[in-house]
Amino acid sequence: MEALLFIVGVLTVFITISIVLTLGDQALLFFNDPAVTLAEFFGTTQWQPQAGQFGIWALVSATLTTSVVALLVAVPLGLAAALYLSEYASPRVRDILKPLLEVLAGIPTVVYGYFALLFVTPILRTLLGADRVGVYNMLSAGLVMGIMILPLISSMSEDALSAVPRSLREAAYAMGATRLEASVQVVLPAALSGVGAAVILGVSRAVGETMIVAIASGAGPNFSFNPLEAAETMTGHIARISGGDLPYGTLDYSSLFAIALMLFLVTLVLNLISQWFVAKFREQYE
Amino acid sequence: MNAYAIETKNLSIFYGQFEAVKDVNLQIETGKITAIIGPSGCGKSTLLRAFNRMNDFVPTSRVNGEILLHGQNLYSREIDPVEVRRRIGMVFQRPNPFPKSIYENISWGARINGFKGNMDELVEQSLRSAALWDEVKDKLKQSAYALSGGQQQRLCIARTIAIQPEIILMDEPASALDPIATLKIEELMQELKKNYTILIVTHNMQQAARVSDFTAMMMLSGEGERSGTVIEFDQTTKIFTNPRDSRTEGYVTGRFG
Repeated sequence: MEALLFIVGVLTVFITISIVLTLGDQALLFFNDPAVTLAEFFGTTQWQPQAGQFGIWALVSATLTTSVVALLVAVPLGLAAALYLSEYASPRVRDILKPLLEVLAGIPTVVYGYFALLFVTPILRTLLGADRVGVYNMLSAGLVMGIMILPLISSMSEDALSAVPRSLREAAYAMGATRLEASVQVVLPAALSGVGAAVILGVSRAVGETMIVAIASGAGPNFSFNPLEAAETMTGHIARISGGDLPYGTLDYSSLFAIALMLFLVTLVLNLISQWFVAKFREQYE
Repeated sequence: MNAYAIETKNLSIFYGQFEAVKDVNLQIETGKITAIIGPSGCGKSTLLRAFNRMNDFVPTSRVNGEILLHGQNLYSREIDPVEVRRRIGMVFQRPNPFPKSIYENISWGARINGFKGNMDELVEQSLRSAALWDEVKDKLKQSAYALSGGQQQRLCIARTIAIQPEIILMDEPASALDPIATLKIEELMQELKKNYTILIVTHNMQQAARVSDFTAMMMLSGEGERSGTVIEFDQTTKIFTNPRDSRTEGYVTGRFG
């Protein structure tokens, strides 16, 4: 039995390594091509493979913009929901609300995508002006992506908050703390490692999310951090281009692997930042 | 004007339909230590937690009767339980410092209660009053969890002192500590009673005899012996040498309990 578990454990590591190797192998072809330089890849902001322009920031900017919008929605709302469920709601209310919230996580992303394009975007265009907001825009995709990852963040955070020992809450209340003071200043910092893990997962979901951005945020690389503009994310670009008939071995083809590798890198960096944040601010209880 | 720090009148505490504590009448004298003793499960902690309204967090709990602080019923409608807990501090059975630094453990409670004075001074003063200053003065920025259990418990006492309550409730404050740490807590209580009224729940009869001025003896009684009540309340020396109730005598002489 132990051997079996060991094999399964090794297998997951093995799969991850093979993915990185596959990506790296093809990406190497891309970077070895005389038409591409690392300086261009990391230093310029135009991504037009047909014109021989490979500036990754045109895609990274859209990924970061949509992800930041999504997190601005999901983290505060998710945390507020988690705090409400764990610190305020009666057991009966919690038993009803939590499964309802988790239903949001079960909606297919393609549905979210069209929800963004056909419902949220028209509202944004009415509210902010059709001349300022495009039919495709990063704001709408980001907002809906935030709704998508909200249940993930709230559910995991709620678990972390509930795991904080009751004695800490009692200590806070016995000091004359209000519910809000006890939850935000004592329970939340104590649960920060779990909450941080939830946010890290949320970040990874947002950066890796494809369908919503492919449908609602636009088809065409555009170096912009203005959420009202249309722009294509790394994932959206890969999905669109790989769906076409790209001949194997061309620069276009191998460029997709370079993007994928970059995606890996962005997720990794964001994870490291979150881990640093958690390590710095968490309050460890025994 | 009455001389008591706090008193209960016909106090009963319910969990749902279950009457956990029945008809308690106690007059707690100012500046004294009053011990609540009795066998396990007789409602000592429930009674103690009624004084700072900690039972409010149990959804089905309910109180009949009154607890009077300066003649004002703590359970009357216009009383804010948060304000009650500020005036009546509590130290728990197991040390439960916040997972913050030693300094912040003291300053946090003071800050949320609107303390505007010199925080460094308050922290030092509180730690001195809890006989902890000399041991921690060089590591105030360290986590409270780096301290031993006995030190943690004195830190919990220090943070309670920092909000300057009128009364301090102690729920078996030494039950998780070794004899030496226990002795320190007991010595500390003698110091504290100069400024505070202390109510302590304890399992340990020797402890009650050593530290307290008054003792309330609780026991299950009533129908089917399910509700706890105070069967005898008197000066500690009387309870331990010349109790009126035979059940008290049986308990303090160790014949049962």
